[in-house]
Amino acid sequence: MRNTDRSFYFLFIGFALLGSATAVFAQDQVLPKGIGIYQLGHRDYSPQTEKFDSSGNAQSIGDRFNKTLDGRSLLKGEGGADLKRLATLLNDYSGQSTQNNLVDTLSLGRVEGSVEGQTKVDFLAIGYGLHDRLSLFVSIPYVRASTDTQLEMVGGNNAAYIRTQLGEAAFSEVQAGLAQASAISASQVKASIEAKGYAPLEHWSYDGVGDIRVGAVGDIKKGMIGTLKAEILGRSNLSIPTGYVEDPDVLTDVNIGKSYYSVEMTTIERIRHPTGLFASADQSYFTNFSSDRQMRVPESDEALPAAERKTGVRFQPGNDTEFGATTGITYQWIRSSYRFAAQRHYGDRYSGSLQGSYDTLSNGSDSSLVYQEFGIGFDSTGAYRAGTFAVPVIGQLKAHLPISGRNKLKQQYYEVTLASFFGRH
Amino acid sequence: MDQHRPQAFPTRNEVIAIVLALAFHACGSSDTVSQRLPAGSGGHGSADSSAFSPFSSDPFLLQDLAAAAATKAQAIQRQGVTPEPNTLWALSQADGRPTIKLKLLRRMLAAPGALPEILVPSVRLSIQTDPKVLALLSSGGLGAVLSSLFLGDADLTLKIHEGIAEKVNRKLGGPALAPDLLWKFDAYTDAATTSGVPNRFSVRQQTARWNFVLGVNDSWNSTTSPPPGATDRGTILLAALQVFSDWNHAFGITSGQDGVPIGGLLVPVQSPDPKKMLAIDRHSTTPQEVTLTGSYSVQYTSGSLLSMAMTPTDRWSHADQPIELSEQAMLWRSMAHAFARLRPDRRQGMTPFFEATGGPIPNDIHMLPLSLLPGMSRLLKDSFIDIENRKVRGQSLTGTGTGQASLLAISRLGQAISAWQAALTNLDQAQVPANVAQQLEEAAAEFQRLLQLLTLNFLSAVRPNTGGVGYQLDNINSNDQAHDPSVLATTAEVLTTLMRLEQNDLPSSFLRERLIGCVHGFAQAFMPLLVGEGQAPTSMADLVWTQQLLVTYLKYEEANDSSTWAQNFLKYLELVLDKVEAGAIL
Repeated sequence: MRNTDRSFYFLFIGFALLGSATAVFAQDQVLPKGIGIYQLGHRDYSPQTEKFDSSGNAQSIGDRFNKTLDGRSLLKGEGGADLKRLATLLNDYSGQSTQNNLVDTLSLGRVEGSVEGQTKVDFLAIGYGLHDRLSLFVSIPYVRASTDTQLEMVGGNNAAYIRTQLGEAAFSEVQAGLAQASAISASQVKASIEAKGYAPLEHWSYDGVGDIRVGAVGDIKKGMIGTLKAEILGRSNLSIPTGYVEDPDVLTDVNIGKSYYSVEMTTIERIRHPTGLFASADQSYFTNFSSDRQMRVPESDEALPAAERKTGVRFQPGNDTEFGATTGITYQWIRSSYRFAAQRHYGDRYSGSLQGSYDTLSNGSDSSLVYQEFGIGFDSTGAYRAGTFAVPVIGQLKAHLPISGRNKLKQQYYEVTLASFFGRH
Repeated sequence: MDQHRPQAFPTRNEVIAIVLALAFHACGSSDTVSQRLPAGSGGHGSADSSAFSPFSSDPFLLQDLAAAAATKAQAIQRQGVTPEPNTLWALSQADGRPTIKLKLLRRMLAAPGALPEILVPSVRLSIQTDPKVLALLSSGGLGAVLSSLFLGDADLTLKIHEGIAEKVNRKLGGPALAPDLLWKFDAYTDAATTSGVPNRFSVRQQTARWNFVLGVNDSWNSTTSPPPGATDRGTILLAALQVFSDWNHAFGITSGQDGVPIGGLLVPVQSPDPKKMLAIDRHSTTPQEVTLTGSYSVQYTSGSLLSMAMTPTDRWSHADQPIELSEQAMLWRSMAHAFARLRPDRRQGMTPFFEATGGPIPNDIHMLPLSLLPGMSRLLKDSFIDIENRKVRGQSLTGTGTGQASLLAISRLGQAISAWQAALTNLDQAQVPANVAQQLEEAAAEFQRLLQLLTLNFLSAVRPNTGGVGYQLDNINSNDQAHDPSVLATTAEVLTTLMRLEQNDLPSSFLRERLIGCVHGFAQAFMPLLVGEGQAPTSMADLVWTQQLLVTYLKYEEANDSSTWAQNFLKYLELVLDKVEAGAIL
């Protein structure tokens, strides 16, 4: 559970920063030689409470903590080592009988978690026209993220009944274990998690720099198709892993950075009509490079690997692709747009010297998302050139809305950016 | 016969060590036994006894019970009922049937054993110290001639028998011993016919006999049962004296005139080297972790009985082999039984036969069984109980447990532990030193944990009865097939033992539900074998254990409410046993 979700969070943040970068105006435009652009942006995510599961259905992100504590799940270790030992003993008492099998009978109720994540991203991007057909840029995000987690126990608990059934035939440890299990509470579940060396679940927050990106965008080809102005752009950038990476001792933190270097190669085909209508298509491929990180490696499929399972892990991330199409219109100062895009992140792989189930770490790492974006903004560069406005400035308000996905956070955000120019006017 | 006080009683330090060793480290402390659950509180999954019948049509409604029982009894009579270990073991744990038991006792008293009675340590010593014999031997070279003239083999034998009969009869208030009840131990035989020939006995056989002898009748405790007739008491007493004499030799209690123990067949539990047979060392400050195990053989040189008595002629050897749990459990069970039987507060019915009132039995004979507790503790802790895996091992090989114990071995260990648990209560009245009593009672508290472990192992072996009703058991006697060929009796013994444990020591509706289901499975599988003629041969052990199983089963309210089949089945078995008891089959 944890590992799936960690991958999921990883992707979520990765996508967030990727989105922030592509939103930078500087990255989509080739600046004239000697002209620079600086852009400030702020992205505000709606409270994140849902994600797309592996089947594409929306589910609460608190589900990562949802756990039915029945005998079979306890036997797998999903309730921790103590409850696994209890279930193992009950299994021994049940022998090979399916009738009144104590493990099948045992139910301690269900742990239900509710998690709410808050993320806000501010970013600064700077671009500069190195050549009339080539611009360089750098973007630096600053992320403030937090999660709040609550657990509660629901449903019936029959441990006391089983204790009565076993009577004096049970070891005192089993009797005591069943008595303890009959009174299990959410706070005990949290305490048992913390006893494994994990930080308290209730609240986690982090403020800091995300992954920095540097790159270049250039005109590959420009021309006219009838009355349409057409251009093909190429963009490449390097994502530098300067952001926060999940701490293996914290269950409720999220990756602010990817933890690995990533190189993006993108082509953008755009046409513009004299009336201001425009349309573009883009294709991106991200080559992601392996990295080393600390993780807790499960022995098998246990949900909460023990603290001593923390080890250095070689992380080979899958690559990413994104395909999108954008259309819009610019009328005088006003610019509006609509974008439809699909992302895919291929599965990750983990390896290490400690024996364990590395495949479990990869569960759910293959993910996808289809989204749409609506944008509206203003652009005073024309008026500035015409001498009717003192400052060349571009502002934009954008809404990002997920449509469907798989193993992805169902997140929506609103972003506002403001850009201006410097250099040779 | 001159009786000797056993001198192998554990010292204080030994007993402390026993207790410490008995504190099975991984078992922790036991909890207080909770209230017995109300019948039928098992909730879902409880056995539905009302819906069960092992037959599509009840055979007891189709035939005359008495006629069927007579047919079965005749079949058993044709086979014969002999004091073989399985029969003795079964009868020793069954209430009632005094006539069968006394007949078997008499049969045992007349049976040959492995060693000439002249070599019984106490008999040998009494001859060695007899003034008349000493006077004859002091006559130089004439001694041998004179002794053969005045003390021939027949004379010696007669004197031994007369001495014993006189002592027993005096206490019984008159001549009561039947003429055929001579001083013939099961473990000892007539030297004239077997001298020079190796003889052998097994601990399994002897423990079954010891347990049986000390279990016959309740004449030991007159407060709960009136003493039987004088003849019966004499038989019981004589058989008990034989047991004590066996112990004398096995434990090496009596020393010869040279101070060297006579006998001593104990082997160290951790390295049962056949060359290192030991006697109990009463001067040892550390507990002797020893036991009796496997089979022993003896060779002795031929000669006159007098010469055999005067010079050590018996050479014992012990086969090197793993120590089996099922055998040791029988030994421990019989020792627990012996301690409980011989405690001063529970032997009022036999008071005249103890030394304090001029009788032949040492007053503190009840302490002797305690001397095996250190060995028992060591074997359980190091070999038979695998705490880490919560398993019971079937064998001990040089101090290490191997294999998985069969259910028979587990149930017999359960019998032993339960018996020790009961035997070690109220020790303040048992004439056991107070500090020893306290430590033993504390150790006994740990037995509950061991019983729980045995129960867990039993429950692990329960599985649904394939194609039938209720449950069946795995691994009933895989380790003991050579010794216990009867699966029927073995299964009944296992289930009876577990039901008794549940009823007396470990009340548990879950265990009860499983056991009731097992009884149903047992009935479906074995009832047809026990009913009617022309079926598979039925042994006494089959009959007795099945009868005990039904008696124990019917104590359950769930079973007793509607189990007509069980009541009829029990009635049938009682009739068979009545007829066997009444018949001249021995």
